[in-house]
Amino acid sequence: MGVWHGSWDGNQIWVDTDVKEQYNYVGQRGMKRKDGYDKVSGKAVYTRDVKLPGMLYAKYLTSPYANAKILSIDTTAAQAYPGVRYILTYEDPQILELKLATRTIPTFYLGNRAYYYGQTVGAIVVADTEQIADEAVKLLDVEWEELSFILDEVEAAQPGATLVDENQENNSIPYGYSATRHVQGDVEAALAAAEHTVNFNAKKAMTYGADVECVSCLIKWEGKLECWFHTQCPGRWRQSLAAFFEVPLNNVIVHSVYQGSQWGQWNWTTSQYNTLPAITGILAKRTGRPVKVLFSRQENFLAGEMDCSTQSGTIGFKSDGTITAVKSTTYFANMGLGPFEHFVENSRIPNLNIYGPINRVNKPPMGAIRCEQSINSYQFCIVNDYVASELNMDPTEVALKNDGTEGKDMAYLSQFKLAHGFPDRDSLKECIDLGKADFGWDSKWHEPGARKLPNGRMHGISFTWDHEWQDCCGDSSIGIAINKDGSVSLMAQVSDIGVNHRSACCQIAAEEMGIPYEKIAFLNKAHETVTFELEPPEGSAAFTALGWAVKRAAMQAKASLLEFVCSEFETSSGWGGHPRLTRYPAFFPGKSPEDLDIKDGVIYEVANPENKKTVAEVAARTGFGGLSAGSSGHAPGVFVWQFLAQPAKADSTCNFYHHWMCRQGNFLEVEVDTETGEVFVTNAMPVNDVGKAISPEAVEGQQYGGVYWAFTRGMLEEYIWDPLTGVQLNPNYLDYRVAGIKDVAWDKINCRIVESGLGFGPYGSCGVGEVPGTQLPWNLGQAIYNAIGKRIEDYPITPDKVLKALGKG
Amino acid sequence: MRKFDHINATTIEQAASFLSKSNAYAIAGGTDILGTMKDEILSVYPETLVNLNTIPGLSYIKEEGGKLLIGALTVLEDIAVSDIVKTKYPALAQAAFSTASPHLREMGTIGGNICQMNRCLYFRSPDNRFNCLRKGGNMCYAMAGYNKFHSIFGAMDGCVAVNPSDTAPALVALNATIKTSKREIAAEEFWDVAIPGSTVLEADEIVTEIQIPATSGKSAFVKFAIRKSIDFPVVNCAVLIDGSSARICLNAVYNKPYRATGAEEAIAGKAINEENAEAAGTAAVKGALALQSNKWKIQIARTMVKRAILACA
Ligand SMILES: Cc1cc2nc3c(=O)[nH]c(=O)nc-3n(C[C@H](O)[C@H](O)[C@H](O)COP(=O)(O)OP(=O)(O)OC[C@H]3O[C@@H](n4cnc5c(N)ncnc54)[C@H](O)[C@@H]3O)c2cc1C
Repeated sequence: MGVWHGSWDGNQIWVDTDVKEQYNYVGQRGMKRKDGYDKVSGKAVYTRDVKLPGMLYAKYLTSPYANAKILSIDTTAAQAYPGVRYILTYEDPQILELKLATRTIPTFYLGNRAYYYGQTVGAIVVADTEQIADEAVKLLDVEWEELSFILDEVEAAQPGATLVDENQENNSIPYGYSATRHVQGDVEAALAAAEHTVNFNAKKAMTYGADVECVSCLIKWEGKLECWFHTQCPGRWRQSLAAFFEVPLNNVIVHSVYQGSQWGQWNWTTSQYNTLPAITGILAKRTGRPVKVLFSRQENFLAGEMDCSTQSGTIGFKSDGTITAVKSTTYFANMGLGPFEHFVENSRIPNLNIYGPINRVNKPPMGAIRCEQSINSYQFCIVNDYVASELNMDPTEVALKNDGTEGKDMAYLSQFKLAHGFPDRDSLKECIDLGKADFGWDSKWHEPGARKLPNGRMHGISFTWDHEWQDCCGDSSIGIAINKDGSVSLMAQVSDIGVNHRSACCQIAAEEMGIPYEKIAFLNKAHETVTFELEPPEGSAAFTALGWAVKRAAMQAKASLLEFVCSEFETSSGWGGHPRLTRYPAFFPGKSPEDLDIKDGVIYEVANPENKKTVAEVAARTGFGGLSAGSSGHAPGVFVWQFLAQPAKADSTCNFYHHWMCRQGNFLEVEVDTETGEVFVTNAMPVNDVGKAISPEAVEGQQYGGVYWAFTRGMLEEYIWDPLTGVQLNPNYLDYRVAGIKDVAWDKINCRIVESGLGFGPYGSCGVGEVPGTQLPWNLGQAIYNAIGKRIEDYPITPDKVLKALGKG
Repeated sequence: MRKFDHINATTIEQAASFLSKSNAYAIAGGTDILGTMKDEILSVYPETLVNLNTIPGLSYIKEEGGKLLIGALTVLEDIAVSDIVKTKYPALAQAAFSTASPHLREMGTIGGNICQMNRCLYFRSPDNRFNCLRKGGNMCYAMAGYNKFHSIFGAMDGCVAVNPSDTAPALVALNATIKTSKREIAAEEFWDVAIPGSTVLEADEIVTEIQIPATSGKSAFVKFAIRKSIDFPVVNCAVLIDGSSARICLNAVYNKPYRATGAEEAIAGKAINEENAEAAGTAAVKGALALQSNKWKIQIARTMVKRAILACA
């Protein structure tokens, strides 16, 4: 349509070619958050808050065993309990239909098979109150057959290992995220010829999504099917519910209220995601009442993340720091993303043989929580740091030596950048230069174990680097209306994930339309029935993908408005059977849209700025209906909608359509108390090249949040399992430790933003949300090594492990 | 959470008589007892809670007759910020301050803190998943299971759980007496009971007051916990050094607060310096016996003793 800039490159890469030095709204600070008042005043409504008249509550039966089969359930006593309205069990025919394949554990969650302790299984009880439902669940008389279990991902991979599923031949996952092996070059030859080699071993415990709001789902089915679900993908749920219940899409509403945090939990990768609203729907239909399923904190612990893994490998490298080969095996539990992508996408390492077997264990299903790239990134960070320390080299130098893509060096990347209209900037070098200077890196760098501080603690610093991986895959759509008073409505459903991207969408619309930010509102609710969805398939690519749809729609809205003001127009008015048509001259007679522009809500002639009209004046003559008596009528209002679909990857074996070019550098300084094993972070500096910070405050919000999660993931969080029963021992926030707000020295987090314009999002942006939380945990191990001269690659790094490394524990 | 009866007692006698009924528990701040009920960790669900808050006059901090007197219903925050406690009995003020979080300190009482139930993850597992020794079962699951935070001084009656209280070691070091509706008990003996009990209290016995003899000595409390904002102690230690005598008590290292007599002997009458404190720390953990995964706690205990002594300098 020619109203937006940017181009499809060979039909594969969408690049923003309309990048400016200065913007009026994009990149500006101080934009009042559109969700700010709701959230700080406590008025924001979350899924769990929603209560409907006549609503019933439902609670699942959960498995007390790590691996078990239900032989029978006698519901008589529960059924007779006063206040119990309905009990659905695994034997119900409609439940049998619910065998939706999942990517992790192949179970449908009202089956008769439990694969881990605490799994929702077998039956769900609907009652007048939550308490009655809870008590009635305890009255279910269940005959269990307890089966042997296995918890360790490496043991699970061995021949003859205990089977998670007695019907399978082994524990390997036969579908979805299956084992990956990436082979590039000739690793064996390269290792044999390497000037140096070094081995590594590392472990990462399983961590939890740790969302604040536990899962809940509410469905009311009276004529329309209305659903409230704590999820980051409301639009896809609408489609799934419509399909499962064979209800027309225009009869299904999925409300997306505020999310009490998400971090990737309850998206497509989590098995329960596939069944919970369907089960709630069945219950609502059968009871004829709104039904709300509530998960307790303990039940909410059933979705982990992909971190759970054990890895080992060998690195070959030259004396100058050039890495020539990496060979590794990473055992994942239940789900994982083979850790090769970061080597491929982010380095010139020519020879790779990276193997990632995934085996089932009797632990909850994994989900892409807080980013599934963590182990990928972990291994990449280990490789860089081990080479640096073996050669006693500065790790920032090793980084620059090995930066590249798909085995090719920076000259190749330069060509790629120029060929696609990007600036030829060296993102990694910019991150390193900025970080080193602000961190005081050169004056702080020392050999491992070499610096004791006056307070008796050991001092250590570390650097890790990686690329950015969240950009613009997926598809999004949005409608934009210019209202009669000149205000603007953005209309699309978008889940409340990330740091307030609804406001950033308004910033883009303000920028592109020339209309003040304050006059733009994001109407999430208005369109929950209309299918405009800013919902890329993966949370990872949220804003950079949906920002495109907003930018294109806003440009088109502006074009439509300018078109309107250059033309004569007719209005219809009159009522009571006396319609009247009136013709009006153009607001800018004799001008064409190219002669005009809009700024601060004023339309003006570029060559003669005094020739102007406010958007409000013009919009007053338009509208979407609803004439009042005596009104002089209106022309049709400006309403546009746009859609953007972007391919993610060509396939899953690493042939990407494009190269990621924005690099990230992470600097960390710690002090280690060698008497207690305690680690104190004294300076954390994420340096993130975000291409373009559309909302710098939102970027910083992601950086602070990411650093917080990095420490909590790196030093505190772990599921604890009883080795003898497979029972999770800490399904609560006291014993499963996440940092409290007071545990983090916020003044010691120093965020830095680099804007290279090398992202594939609008304005050359890329995402930042997953980066600090995924990369900075690995700085901890490296910084502790620099402090005490001992490697601890066993996360979380807790004081007992530090003491053990020091020979004191 | 299930239904239960809740009775507001107006006098100690009345409370005691309600408590003598089977399966009744006292409730003060409720921060511990309600959690055990929500998770249904006990083998028998409490039928009745007897509210002590409605008994007047059980919350105070005062000096009388050469003693510091603290009412059993005094909340931890009041103790933590009390000028008398902070200046004359700093170990107790520090212990109270280090407990839980601000909200919990405003709710939780000193009486409840010393009577709280064990925090062993097996004992606390929801729905009484592990009917362990401490609940009248016949097995300690931690012994061969997860025991990173368990006893470093062996099992008591086969149980390796630890007493989790932060104020308890301070009370032992300060030589406190615990006054109940029936008797006066030296703090040191208060937890000296066979499992499944946590304290020597009888079912219908109520703590009414904590009494601490005035001291001219110096006291201090230190705590090591994984998470600083809110966490039970991995190990804590309270020390009172009065002239040539020392009272040193560790907690979270054994079923009950652990008097480190070896450390007391090592430091008594000696100058408080790094070297002597270190030696006392080492003496404190002499005889410590690690389980499979808690050897690190021995090092922590040694360090806590050393640091608590140094804090008395
Ligand atoms: C999240 C969390 C973190 C915590 N962290 C810590 C910590 O770091 N350090 C620490 O020491 N503690 C910690 N605690 C425990 C907390 O300090 C105790 O829960 C609190 O002190 C108990 O006081 P309460 O008045 O609420 O007791 P309640 O819960 O009312 O009672 C606890 C027990 O004591 C009995 N009881 C109460 N008062 C009396 C009395 N006067 N006479 C006889 N029996 C009585 C009750 O019957 C019950 O069995 C934590 C608790 C929570 C929930």
